Amino acid sequence: MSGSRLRIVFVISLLILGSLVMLAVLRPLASAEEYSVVSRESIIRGEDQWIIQLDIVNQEKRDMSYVLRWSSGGADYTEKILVREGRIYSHIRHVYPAMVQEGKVDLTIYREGEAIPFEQSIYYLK
Amino acid sequence: MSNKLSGISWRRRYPGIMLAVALVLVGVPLFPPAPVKAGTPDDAYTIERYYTENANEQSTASTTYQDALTLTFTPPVTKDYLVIATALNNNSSTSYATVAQFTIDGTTYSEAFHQPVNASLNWHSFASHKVIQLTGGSSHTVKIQYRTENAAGTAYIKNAALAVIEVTNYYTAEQETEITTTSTSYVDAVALNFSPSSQADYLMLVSADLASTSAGKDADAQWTIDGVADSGVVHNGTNYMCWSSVERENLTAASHTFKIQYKTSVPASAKIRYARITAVLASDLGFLRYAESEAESVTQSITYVDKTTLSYTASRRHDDINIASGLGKQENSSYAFYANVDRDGVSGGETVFVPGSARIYRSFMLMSKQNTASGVTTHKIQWKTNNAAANTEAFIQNANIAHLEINSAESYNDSAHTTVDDSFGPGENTAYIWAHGLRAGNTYTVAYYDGNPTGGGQKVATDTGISSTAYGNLSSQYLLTTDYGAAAGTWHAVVFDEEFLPGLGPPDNYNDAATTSGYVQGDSFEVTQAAIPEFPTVLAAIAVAGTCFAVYGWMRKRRLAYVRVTP
Repeated sequence: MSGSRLRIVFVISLLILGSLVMLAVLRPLASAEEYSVVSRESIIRGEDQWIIQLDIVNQEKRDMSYVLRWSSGGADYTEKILVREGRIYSHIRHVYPAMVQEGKVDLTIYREGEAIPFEQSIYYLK
Repeated sequence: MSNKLSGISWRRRYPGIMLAVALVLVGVPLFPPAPVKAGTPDDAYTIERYYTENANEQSTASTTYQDALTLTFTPPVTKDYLVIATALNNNSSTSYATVAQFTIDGTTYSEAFHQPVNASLNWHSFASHKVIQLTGGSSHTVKIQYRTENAAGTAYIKNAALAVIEVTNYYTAEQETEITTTSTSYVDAVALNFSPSSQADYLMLVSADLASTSAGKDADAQWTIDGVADSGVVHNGTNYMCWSSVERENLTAASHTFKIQYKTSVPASAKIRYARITAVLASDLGFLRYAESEAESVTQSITYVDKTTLSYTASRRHDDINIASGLGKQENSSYAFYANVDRDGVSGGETVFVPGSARIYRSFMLMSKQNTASGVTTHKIQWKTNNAAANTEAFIQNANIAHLEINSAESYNDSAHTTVDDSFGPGENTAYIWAHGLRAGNTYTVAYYDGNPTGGGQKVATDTGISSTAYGNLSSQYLLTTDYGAAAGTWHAVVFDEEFLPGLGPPDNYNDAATTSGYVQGDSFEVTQAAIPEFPTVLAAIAVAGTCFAVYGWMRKRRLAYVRVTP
């Protein structure tokens, strides 16, 4: 590879790096800034339970209230949460086999006052 | 040759390597892995409680009140508190009484006169309770005080104990001022009616000051559960003496009525005051172990005989408050009734009295606090007479032992919960909360509130559906770096009993949490700003760029000579 070609590759790599830095600073990847997102959703299988955890990131440039509803047929749980602008709220749900009917757990998240959920998940737990 | 080839290979590869490094370094802070922050049911979380005791004997010849035991504290928020006071007292003279009272912020909530029939055979029980709202942020003082009725007799007091425990889920009724009756059938002094939202264990406390308005006459009192008499006392004479009892009741989700009733013997009146009956959801207080022996038992033994035994195996070291109560009488008015509260062979208080009348049934209540190691512990109520002859038997009934493994919650910075940490700084990014003394096998939610002064802290996370272990423990944890917008300062982790939580879960701010139904206990800990932030993205990007340039510069310096290899 000639020196000039190497420089070109290097410059390209710097441009890519610069772009990534810009992404990091400006975060344009979160293009739906006006919407909240559920992130870092995960399920941990414990000795005698499942642990479902998630974060709600409020990117809506204002404080938002949500109603979060867990339903497993056995033990339902509802919680209203207020997530301040730009803040991240964490939620963890412990699910025990005795609580699970039909092998699944439903999670529905509504913006307060809205009938249509903005997030709906079904966790099949076996 | 190989070096030259390697040199060419490095030069060809380094831009790609740099790019990969850049992608990884920039990508890591952009997409961090989900943190492990879930609760586990094997470990556990502190309601506000204050306790002090002095088992030592104290004496005074003063006719003005002297402090026997003082408990001063400042609760963080305005809440309702259950206050329990117990002690044993005596007087060197059979002609005068020792007067004991318990006060909260200078106001008397029970005052009893105990005059011995035989001064060498007398340690009479003084006990009372009260639920009261105490203002947060202000200093409060609870006292047991005593004096002699006359300086010719010296007053003694020992085994004094005071407990103040925050309560949320309770029902109480009281008759504070004196009322009288001439009825020889029971009439109501206090009535308490409520319907629990669900079936649960409640700790029942009953206390009153009772006497006759006429010398030598009896006054009787009893408490009833849904119309059925539970237990009662018979006091004689005009001196107010106290009556107290502790009992566990498993109450269904239906209407229940509890009463304190009293009556007199003729021709006289009975008088009663500071009469209170309280039901507290047991889990508000701690993990309750309980034993009772209600039927009347009799002994001629002059050595202690076991009446009630509570034996349990603790899974780990814990603090506990023990309350023992019972009723005793002596068939012969000249001999004594003894009762002993024992813990693993060590006496925690011995009450004794000569009743002066075979009809008299008096109560005793003793309280103590211990730090108990894991393993087997045995609590007993024992009783005896002081004469083995016939017709000098001692009688006992309603001997109840309530052992409260105290709700407590601590914060730790290690998952093994080895060292309590109330201050989280750099590198301490996870708050591990461990709670115990909860209802076994019950479902709890732990809510985390940050240091935002607005509302006392804003809710940043909830850990829900946690089932406590058979030992009433649970644990939860929160990764402090989850939300780097969270405020440093005093954080709170609050445990709620999901059964009693309102429909929309824990409130959004801490100040409301403290008054929310289902609130069990809370723990506070300090979090510095250094414990909160993840490595900020902007700083990460700058660091990545700097690293890349450094790597590039380093590689340029190590660049091997460019040699064309001709086959």
